[in-house]
Amino acid sequence: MSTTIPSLLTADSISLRPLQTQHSKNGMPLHYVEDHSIPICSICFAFRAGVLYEDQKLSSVFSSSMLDEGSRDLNYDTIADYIESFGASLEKENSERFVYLKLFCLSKHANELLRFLKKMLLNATFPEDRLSLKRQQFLQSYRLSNSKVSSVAWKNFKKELFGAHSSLGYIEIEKDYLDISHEHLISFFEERYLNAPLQIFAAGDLNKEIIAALLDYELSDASAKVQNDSPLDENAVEPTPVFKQIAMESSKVQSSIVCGLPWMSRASQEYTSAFLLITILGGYFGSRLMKVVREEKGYTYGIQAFVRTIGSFSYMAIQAELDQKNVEATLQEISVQMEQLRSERIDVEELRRAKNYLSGIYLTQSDTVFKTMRLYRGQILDQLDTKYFENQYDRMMNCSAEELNEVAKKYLSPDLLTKIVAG
Amino acid sequence: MIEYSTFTLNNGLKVLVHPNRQSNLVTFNLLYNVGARDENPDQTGLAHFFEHMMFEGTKEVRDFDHRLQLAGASHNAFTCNDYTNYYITLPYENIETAFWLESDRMMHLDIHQEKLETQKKVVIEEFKQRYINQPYGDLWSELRKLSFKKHPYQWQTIGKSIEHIENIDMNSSNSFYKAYYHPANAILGLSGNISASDAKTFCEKWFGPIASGHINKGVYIQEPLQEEGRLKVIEKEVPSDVLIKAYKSSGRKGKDYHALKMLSLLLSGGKSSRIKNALIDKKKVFLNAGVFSTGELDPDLLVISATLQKGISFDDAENEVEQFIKDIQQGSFSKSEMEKVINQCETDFCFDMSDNNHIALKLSIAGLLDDYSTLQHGLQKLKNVSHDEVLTSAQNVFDEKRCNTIHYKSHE
Repeated sequence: MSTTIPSLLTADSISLRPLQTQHSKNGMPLHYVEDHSIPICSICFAFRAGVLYEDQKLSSVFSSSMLDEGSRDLNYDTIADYIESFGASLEKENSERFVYLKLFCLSKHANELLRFLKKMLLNATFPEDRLSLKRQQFLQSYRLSNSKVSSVAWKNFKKELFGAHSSLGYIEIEKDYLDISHEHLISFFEERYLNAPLQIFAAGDLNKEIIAALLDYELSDASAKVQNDSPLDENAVEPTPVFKQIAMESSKVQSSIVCGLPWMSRASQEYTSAFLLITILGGYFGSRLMKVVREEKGYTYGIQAFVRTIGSFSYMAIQAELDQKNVEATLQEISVQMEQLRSERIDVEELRRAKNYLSGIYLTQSDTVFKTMRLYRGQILDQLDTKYFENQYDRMMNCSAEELNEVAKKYLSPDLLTKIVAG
Repeated sequence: MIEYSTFTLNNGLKVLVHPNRQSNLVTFNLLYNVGARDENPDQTGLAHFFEHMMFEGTKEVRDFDHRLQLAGASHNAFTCNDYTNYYITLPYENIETAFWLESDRMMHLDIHQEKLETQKKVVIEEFKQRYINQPYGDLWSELRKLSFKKHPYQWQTIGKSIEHIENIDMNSSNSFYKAYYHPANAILGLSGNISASDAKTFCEKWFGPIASGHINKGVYIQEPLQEEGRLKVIEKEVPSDVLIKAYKSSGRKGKDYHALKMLSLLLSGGKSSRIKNALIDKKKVFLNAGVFSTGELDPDLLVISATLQKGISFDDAENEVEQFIKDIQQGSFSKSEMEKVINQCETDFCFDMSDNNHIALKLSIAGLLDDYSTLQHGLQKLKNVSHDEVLTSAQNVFDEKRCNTIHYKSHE
């Protein structure tokens, strides 16, 4: 058997498939990436209708889930049956700022489906009987999430980090589900879906007819559009160094830890090195926290650190579920690992390992036309340059141990952690 | 149709390759023909536990993860009742590293007492996290216990109990490794930017020298024909009542596999499916409901799973399900509903084709089944299913004498 270790290559740079952008006559942007080797396409409508725009709690999630639940001439089952008879599917995704409505279909059916979808959206009715069912379904999920240690820890972490009365930190109560009404949904829909600026992202086998149909997709006259489009409270937050324990009767075996800090904007020069730093702390199987807390001590099945971006700001968080008797030792270990990153430079081999691992992740994230479009979508909606991903790869590969140490000293302070334990 | 080529090494390693030159990556999917069904009833959880041990290094390579991550790879594994599957996705230029590391751990795994003890703790935490500390966490283990009295599908891959995991020792681990981890008992699926000839060269170089072993023949105690329906009532602090009805089905190797697949998609694939339309939207009996196969090789279960609306009793829910099934058994579904299922499968197939992980796993499973027809004509086989065949399969599978029911009651 050969014992010569295979040589390794790491890509010097990454090049995404080209993005194309056109604008409708009223200025609505359509961004797209083509790939004609496959007979399918995905089309994503990004509505500025996330939780940050709500003046009535839960308007975002209820409205998005009910976009295809009824229209003036079409009831919910006709809509579902029509879309699915083409083998197509419609998905919704909610972020803090956006609601994404995504159509997946064979390209040969795209035009017909787009015509149908436009009619459905322009005439959406949010019928009372469907709202009643949605309310019961959401309440069931809400009650289920309240019996899970991980969900309870998350909700309380965000409450402490963003503030109990902010859109991002607010913990919903049953009354919110009961209060949401047909009128709220109609009003939110008109303001945030019909009259707020829309952006469309398409990928796959796109022909001229599909492009033309999408360029004709504005849902209202531009003159009627909301002019001031800032989210209600998208402001950077200050660190909140607290430690809270939430007792849960239902959980006798394990607790969930969530701790974290406000982090910097993706546009920041330090973001890339800070992202690499968090990867080394707990972002992959070879991370320090996984090595010590799982692989050496066996305290948990998994512990992860990650960065979550919300428009122009972000936060880092660490999460694990583990036996209650190991909570204190694990929190202590998190502090020790953060302190080490602040006090010692990362070893060359450890840095190479993390960079090489991430180089593979970057390739994976851009390997298909659909994944590529998702990357562009994130960059465009975060108002970043469309070369951001490619440039970030270069920056990441050139990051030095000194830079990481500087970022750790500046931001990664265990004394500033918001720490929640539920269980 | 998934294009592929296949070859088998002299030591029995079966290899299937799907080249995709558009991708910058390759997925290396190594499936071992051993799962929870191969365990001793008094020592369950070993197959899954052993999956954890496979990441703990060899005499030559102390840190398996480190080497892969240097190559830009993402990797993981899972264990199910029938097999254990290891997958690595990495830049195509570094694919040889996957061959090196997987062949090395197939041959030289270093099963060390200290690592074994740590992984036992990790797996016990996994057991608690997934199956004890979650609402409804014990539902599926209770269903298996109720449904299978002889066949090893009666336990979950995590194992029957924490005690079984605690009892795993060096001897049982070493024996398990020797018995099942060798080329003749493995199938390699490769999808991505790699040619069949390169795959063969690397296979011969890295796996060729490994000694063969005994193929796991997969002979298990078969489940006797169930003669009457069974019911188990569980009462716990959960937010809603849940009804499970699990019918004995013929499994992945059954002749009516495609008809049953069509049936389950007809009943619960998509928002316009039968069960959503009838029992959630119109009759408002359930909040959520689905119909799915447990997807095993031996005779398995076709499961109806539903969350009850508040105020609906289990008796009411059962009556509605009975009526729903009766309608299907009387052929109330149309050809256009079947065409819709085919169209959905065609779109899904096209999207799946751009996913190397998905294709590579499909190749390995085809190798395990020794049936490549689903790769060649999977969609066509579904298209060929007739209305009568679906009707017959519905009449056969939905038999209350062969049904295992769970009433998972909320005592809130």
